[in-house]
Amino acid sequence: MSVMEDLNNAVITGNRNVAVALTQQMIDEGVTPMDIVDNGLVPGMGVVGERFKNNEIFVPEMLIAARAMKEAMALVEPLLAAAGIEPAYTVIVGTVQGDLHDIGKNLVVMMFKGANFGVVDLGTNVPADAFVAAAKEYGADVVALSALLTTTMPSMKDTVVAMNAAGLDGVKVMIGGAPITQSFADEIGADGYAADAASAVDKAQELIGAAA
Amino acid sequence: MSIDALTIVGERINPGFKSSKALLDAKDLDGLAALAVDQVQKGATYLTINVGEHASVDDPRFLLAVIQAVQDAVDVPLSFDYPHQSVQRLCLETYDPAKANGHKPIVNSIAEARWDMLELVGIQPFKLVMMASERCEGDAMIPNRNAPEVHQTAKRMVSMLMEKHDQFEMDDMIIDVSLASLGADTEGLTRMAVDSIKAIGADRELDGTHRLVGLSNLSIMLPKLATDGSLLKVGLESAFLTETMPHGLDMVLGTPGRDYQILPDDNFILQGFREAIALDGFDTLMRVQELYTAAVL
Repeated sequence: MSVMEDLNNAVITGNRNVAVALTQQMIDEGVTPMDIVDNGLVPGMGVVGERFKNNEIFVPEMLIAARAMKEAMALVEPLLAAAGIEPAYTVIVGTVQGDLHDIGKNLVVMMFKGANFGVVDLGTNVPADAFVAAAKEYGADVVALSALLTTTMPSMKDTVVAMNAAGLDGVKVMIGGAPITQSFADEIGADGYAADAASAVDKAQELIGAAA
Repeated sequence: MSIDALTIVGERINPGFKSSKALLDAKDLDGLAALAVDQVQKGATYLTINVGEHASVDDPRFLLAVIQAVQDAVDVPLSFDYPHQSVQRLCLETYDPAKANGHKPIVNSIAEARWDMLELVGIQPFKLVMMASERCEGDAMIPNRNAPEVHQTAKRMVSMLMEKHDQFEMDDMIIDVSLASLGADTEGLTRMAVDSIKAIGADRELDGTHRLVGLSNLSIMLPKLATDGSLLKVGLESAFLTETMPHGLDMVLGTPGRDYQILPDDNFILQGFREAIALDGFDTLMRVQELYTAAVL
């Protein structure tokens, strides 16, 4: 097996020590940071997302894999920054106003990072205008809204309305969370809906026409 | 301690469950009434009514029809799960205690930042779920992160009610300590829930109040089976009950008919649960992983 395949497997199994060691080894051997990200880390998280969607692995495996990915990325990120390479796409993620739940939102953040998106995590209880301000400031391609409570779902509509009122209709808005449905997304004019964290990345890539 | 002491608020009329969502989307009142009957037959003492996005104040007909259909089908009291006063008002105006052997409904919920439900006491008497998992500081809602914070929030809410709203008795107050998913718990939130119930249970000033959690939250996103062949989800939920019922947990939002049990000390899942919640960060998750098999490679 190649070192790159070993790195993939280290991410999939969530073995952070091996993931970090192999990443460092490849950096030392002169492998480019983009190559490490694109071929060593992102495909590993892709496998994790697929297995999660298929109920072959569960949330603990996903979180532990994401941690391995994150620690390996921490070695590569300064090199990418020094080379002036930024993630191709930026996503703003947050739980909408009135809602303090963050477990699902955090999974979405990790899966986007695992797919090498630039991620701005606004946290929980985020007002519509904060999404708008962040989308402008960071030149976002996608804004992803989370809600767990049926009662905070109207805050999603408020955010869609605010995004459109601010002239940001080019930015794709997607929504998710336990009570959310495709029909609700259609009703409030959101661009997309995803049923789980792994699907959220697929949906975002579809919405912005990015290669998976 | 017997599991029979547990009051189950049947949770299934809620769009968070796929089969229930299909009934709600189809506005299938007969199906929802059958779901109510099924939960009561399986031991529910209350039934949650949460119609999700169909709870429109502008067009409340469906919400009101569900309440009436359920009350025509069963005689247990209902629990209304909405943080908006306008929706709760509709529910309380529709609920008929005479169809529930005179029992009060439950308003779920109030929080330190949301007291406006109390303005509804004139419509009819009710019990209250009080969210102790978040507190109010100035204008900000802040999630509580340890058991003393949850306990103090519960205490403030109970004394506020006793001072200013004496129509509420201790028996009307249901303290929700909030329960998160163990499979994603890198912040000690399950331990916080257990310790909060212990702290509230040891506080004599809170005697007579009820303690509730949304029990199904604990095991979501985990597999069905444990490595010893038993059912993992109900096992974890039973482990939580085993650790908290002796300290005063007496109500759960849950799925009636699940085989909840008080587990013996040598139970495989109980041992894993105890060890997992004693650990911190990812060590908790890794101990949880030892309870089941996943197809990692």
